[in-house]
Amino acid sequence: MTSVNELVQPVWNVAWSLAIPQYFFMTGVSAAAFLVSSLTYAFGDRRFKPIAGLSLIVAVTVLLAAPLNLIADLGQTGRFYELAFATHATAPMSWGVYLLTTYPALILVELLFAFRGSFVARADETVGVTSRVHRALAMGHRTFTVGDAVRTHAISRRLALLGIPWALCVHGYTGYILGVMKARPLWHTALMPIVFLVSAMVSGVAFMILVTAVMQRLETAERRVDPALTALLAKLLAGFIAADLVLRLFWYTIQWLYGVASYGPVVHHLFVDSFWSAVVVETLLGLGVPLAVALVPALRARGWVLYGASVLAVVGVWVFRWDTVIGGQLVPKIGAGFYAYTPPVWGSDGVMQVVANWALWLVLFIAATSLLPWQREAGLGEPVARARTRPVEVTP
Amino acid sequence: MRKLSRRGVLKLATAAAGAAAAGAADAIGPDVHDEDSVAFRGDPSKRWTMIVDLRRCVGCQSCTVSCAVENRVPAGHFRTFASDYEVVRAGAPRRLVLPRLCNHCESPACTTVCPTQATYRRADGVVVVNNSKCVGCAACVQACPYEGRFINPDTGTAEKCTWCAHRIDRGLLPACVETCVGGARVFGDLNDPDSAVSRLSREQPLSALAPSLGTRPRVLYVALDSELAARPEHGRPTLWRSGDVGLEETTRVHTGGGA
Repeated sequence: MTSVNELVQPVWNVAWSLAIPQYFFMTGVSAAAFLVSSLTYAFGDRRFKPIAGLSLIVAVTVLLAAPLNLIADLGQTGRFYELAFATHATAPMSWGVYLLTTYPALILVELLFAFRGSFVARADETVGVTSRVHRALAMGHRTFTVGDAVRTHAISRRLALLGIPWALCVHGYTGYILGVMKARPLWHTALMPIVFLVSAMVSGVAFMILVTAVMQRLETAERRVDPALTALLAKLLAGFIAADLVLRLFWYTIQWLYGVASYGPVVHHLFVDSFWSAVVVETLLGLGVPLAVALVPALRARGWVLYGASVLAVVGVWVFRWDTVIGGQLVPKIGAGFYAYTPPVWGSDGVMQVVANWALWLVLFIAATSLLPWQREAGLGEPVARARTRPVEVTP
Repeated sequence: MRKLSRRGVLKLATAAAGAAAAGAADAIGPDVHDEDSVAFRGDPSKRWTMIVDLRRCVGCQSCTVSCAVENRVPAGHFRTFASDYEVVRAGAPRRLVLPRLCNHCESPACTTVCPTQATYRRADGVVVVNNSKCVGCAACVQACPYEGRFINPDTGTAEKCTWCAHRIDRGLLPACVETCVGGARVFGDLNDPDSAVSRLSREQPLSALAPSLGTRPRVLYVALDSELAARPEHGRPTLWRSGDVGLEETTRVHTGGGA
């Protein structure tokens, strides 16, 4: 029996900090929200119509906030724009530059076409700046005939179809970034982009359940959450969680029982050292509990039970991103043992960076949902206080 | 190692003075702007290789120190260092040292993932970073299986061993080779059949670190213990952490100036 004791060995710090799991999480939510909107815009599924526009707004606002994490994590933050001028075909990060610029542009154009009828109507109903802004968003159109509706519908349908591979790529490439790293046994699997995509769907659908609940309750004239819609989303959630669990089963068992030696420490790190985060929070609470709630009709029909389960699923996927990105770096490449990492509170690699990123998203989301008539697009009423109708002209 | 004439030595001394004056601490050096220069492209007639003869390594860390001084490596980071182990076999302990550095791989894992092509392999096999192009995304740091890279906190860009490119381009040896007490680090041109690396490669079986990763390193070892070729799976980690011994305070080799 041979034993090895290290006497002198440097320590390598975590090179990708908190901002990276946050970024991966955000792109995943965006991709999933886009796919939910495409169920209506691309495939004409009317059941998701009430949140089709809202999902598109979530997809674009999340994706506008997400890349700031990448910039924050650069050693030379001021050079971020140089990524656009220097390409490298073999570097997934280089692909990301083009995905991260074209994808939100595509969603914004799709929004303009999908919402045109609502823009025209709101421009007619309101006065002043609001009216002018919506007239501009409607590209100056003063009327919206049935023919216009057919035309814009056809265009937004094509954009929604085109956006599906785009959305899959914009999140799939993040899994690819990790998958290509053969120095990191936790990351180096061809399953990584697929695992990332499926877990993104879990987090995105759960996130849409929460957004739907909040926005329908607070921001519509009806002031009630559509239980049929959330139940439908819950069923989607169950499907994606089941797929996620199956993928993890394949991933972990093949690597653990039949894998190469370098995977041994990874198994130890995930299932022993990170037991509470990787097993309890990520798998049992983040996937197991939401799956149970989403599968049982009596449970998924209870709003607060479903919302609680959705929060767990969202948190679980965030923790999965953390356990993958940070956890992968805590297994030393050459040193023995394992590293420990606690993020700082402040700074570009700190907790507050993530909090600030969420805050920015919230601001973008509130601004976008205030500006864009998503309720009208969904066939719902706007809250009374919000309805700024043109004053009725009274003849003396 | 190259054979040196007296005139050659004189030329080298001048070059050394020039290199010192330029203070080329970066991978290519802030004074180099011509992208067709040897500093950027390398010398295609050379095939630089390093062989570490572990039978001769005494673990004195003079390579670590000379590299830190030559390249102004920030405290707590290393372009090269010697891992020190106690390997116990059948109850008998033995001290083993493994000098590590960038392996200047023929199929580098690091260069392919660089989004800006800031890091690349020169024609002579030296893997360098153009740190006026590097954005500090750390993809290469993640990709390297040998921990050959880090993000320099002073420059915000990736940093690594360049085999002292600023020295070898002027006919000098890398600092670690020049200061190696036991003569364990042998550096030279594999295209030259009379070079010390060519002779050693004919005479001794050579091993690479983590050969299964397919990176084809150009840093090779004589008498490499198989336990240490990859991460020791059940090894006991070092008790010494830089913070524990006040490394930040005691080993700052670069004061003032900035990189």
